[in-house]
Amino acid sequence: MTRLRPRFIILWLLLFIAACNSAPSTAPTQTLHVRIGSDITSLDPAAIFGIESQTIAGHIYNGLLRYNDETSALEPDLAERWEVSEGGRVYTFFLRSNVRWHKDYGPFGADDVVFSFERVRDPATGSRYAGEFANIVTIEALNDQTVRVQLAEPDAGFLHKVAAFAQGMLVSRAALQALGDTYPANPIGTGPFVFAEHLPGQQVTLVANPEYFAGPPILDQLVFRVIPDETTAEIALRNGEIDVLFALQAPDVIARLREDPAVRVQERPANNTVNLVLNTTVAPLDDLRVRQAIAHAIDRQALISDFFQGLKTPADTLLTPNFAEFSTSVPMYDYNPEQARRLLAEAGATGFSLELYSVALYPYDQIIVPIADDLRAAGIDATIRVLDRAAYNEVRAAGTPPAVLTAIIGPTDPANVLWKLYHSASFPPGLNTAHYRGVDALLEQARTTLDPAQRTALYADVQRTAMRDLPVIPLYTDRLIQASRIQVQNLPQNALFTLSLTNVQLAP
Amino acid sequence: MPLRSPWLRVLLIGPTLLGVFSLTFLLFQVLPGDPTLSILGEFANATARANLRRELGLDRPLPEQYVQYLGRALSGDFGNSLISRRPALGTVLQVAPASVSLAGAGIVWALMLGVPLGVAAALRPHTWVDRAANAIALLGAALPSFWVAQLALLIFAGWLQLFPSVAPTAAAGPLAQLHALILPAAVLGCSIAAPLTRLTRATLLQILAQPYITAARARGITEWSIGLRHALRGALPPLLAATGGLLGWALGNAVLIETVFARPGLGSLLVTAVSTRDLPLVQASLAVIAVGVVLINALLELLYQYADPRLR
Repeated sequence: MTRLRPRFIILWLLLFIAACNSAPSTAPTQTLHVRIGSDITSLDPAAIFGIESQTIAGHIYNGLLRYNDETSALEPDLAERWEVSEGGRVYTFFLRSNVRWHKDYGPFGADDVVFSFERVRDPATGSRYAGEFANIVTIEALNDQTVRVQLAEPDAGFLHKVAAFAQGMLVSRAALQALGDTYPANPIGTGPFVFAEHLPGQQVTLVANPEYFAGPPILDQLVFRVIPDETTAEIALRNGEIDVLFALQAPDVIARLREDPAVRVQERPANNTVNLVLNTTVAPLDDLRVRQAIAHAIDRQALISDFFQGLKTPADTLLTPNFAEFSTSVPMYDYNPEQARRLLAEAGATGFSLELYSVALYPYDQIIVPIADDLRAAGIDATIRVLDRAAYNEVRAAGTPPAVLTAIIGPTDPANVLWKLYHSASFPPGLNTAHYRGVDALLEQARTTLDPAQRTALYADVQRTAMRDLPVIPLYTDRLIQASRIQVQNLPQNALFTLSLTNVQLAP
Repeated sequence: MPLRSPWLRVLLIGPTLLGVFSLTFLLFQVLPGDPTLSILGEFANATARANLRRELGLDRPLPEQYVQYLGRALSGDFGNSLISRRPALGTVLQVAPASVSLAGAGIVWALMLGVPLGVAAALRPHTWVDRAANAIALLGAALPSFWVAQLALLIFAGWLQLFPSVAPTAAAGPLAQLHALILPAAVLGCSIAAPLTRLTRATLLQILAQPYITAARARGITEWSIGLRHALRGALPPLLAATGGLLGWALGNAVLIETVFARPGLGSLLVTAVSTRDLPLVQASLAVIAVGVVLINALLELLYQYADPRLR
């Protein structure tokens, strides 16, 4: 056997290094690196879920309408304007011309809108959003630039359903027919960025769309990096390996980033509260006094100030101040363990055992601990059940858990939150695992009421009644926190838990 | 150490896979959680879920599902991931190189750390050197690897900035990838070095008691030279065998380290796939891991025969 002499090894290493370094560098000049906390699920609007996938898809696709980043107001996107007629039953959308699909899939037209919505509605698609369009009777293309949608009954929140979020993002008939099963790996939109590549568990790359109807974006490329751990993401941001973090949760990470002069931290209230849903059909939770006792037993202020170090804000109803229909004239429940014990004694439920369910996801699987402690201090034998996503979904779908942590993230459509948590039609299937039916009539009336003032009054009534009956205890109002390196300019912060990077530019 | 032909190992891939697939299938029947909920979400009605169950073949009798599942799996057709709807095997193969390089580099670190510690311990048995070497190796195994990973990240990537905190983007060259591999591999190496230290020490102590070592001592060769040149060569075959056994352990330990260092990997992929009950993706990951472990063990068996002159 011949021996490798150290000289040769060093020479070989040097050659290797030289070979590696001679690779030509073709990186574009303006690339923004964004951290995502987990890998994407799907970029198909019919199947999409999770803020990471929504954020990336939001740069690939457009909707008929979109949300203003600052005000959350609905504004034109691919529909230049729209008309509502027949008492809110018919919506006519007039589409923008000169919009083209990515990768030469031709011009965008009314037929694509019909195709997109019919596809979500079609049971064969198996879309998780089929129910959002259940109220639609017909969708037709009046001509290449006009789409008419006929609803079974008026829906004050219909425009939210066709805005650029989830099922509202529009797909190309030609692309889906040509790509078939390979579409999920090659999503085609009309947005400011074009899908380039997805490396599982690692990154998603988008490149600028030079044909974007509103003019090409300033950035050449967006790279979304999967970085599960927030501490790792923080170090990567400080080192300049990534430029933007969003949907930050860890209080210590946020506190350190706030002190860094090279980092800009932005925050605003979110559209969602985090809630404890109580099953009102099982004893002793079917007794209002027991539910009131639970509300009085949980020190929600301590949860906000101690666990979240003041990052979240209190919640007394399911809607947040971002909603026009947000109401403060609701029954409120202060932290009062004495009162809780008294109510439990009155109901004859002292020492009853209660299982608290949470998904294994930060911060839910953590806040459930102080909540259980509070309940135990008030004389409730609380046990914690933290389940992985699939097991949690199954338990929740069965509707059996006595108490479960639930949050609904989405646009500022009050029906999206109140209907889904309070209406009896929202189980099964749905999230009303409280099995509450006390505001059905009010919710139905509010949804079909087109007059804003009347609708707001009805939703105030919904909130007052439901907070009196207490099927759901709001724990806190979520707050959105994003951090970026100061070189990142024109970065807005929307209220949807996503990012808007279209107008961002990098200072040298 | 049982003597086996490397070809026998390769032949055993079939039964190994059969076992792995059958066990996975069984576990998925026992686990709570329904993939149709992961796919369709909480607002899917019973009809939509029933349709999807039919489409996925989940409504058929279990034995039928099992046979169909095995047939497809053994022929390498894993279908599409239920969640991303992209080919499961393709996804796994895209991720596999990252795992293989981390596990490989981790084992190199483990050897670099574990073997010298073992040699030191064997040369000075029952002294403070021996105890210190053992303590260091044990500490590596006892400290939770995700904690060590975060600490290493904070010190070497955060404060000293010697290494990147996350693996570079795909566009970066191989040198940058190698640079980013050093820190996670070192953490992984520390967590799996202990058995190598113990094995090296035990084997060396045995060899050092042999007559030929006494003869070498009589010739006046220094103790370190004896340990490294004569005794260690004799310890090579069992070390190679143990390294093969470490591979599976390294892949398992890598999951948390991958998470902290934001590296793609089979472990993280598998954890995500299990949490969404994405059976095709779980199956494809396990198949690739099983085939990989079997092939590498076969390769080590070849090396083992080469290192042990008696087997040549």
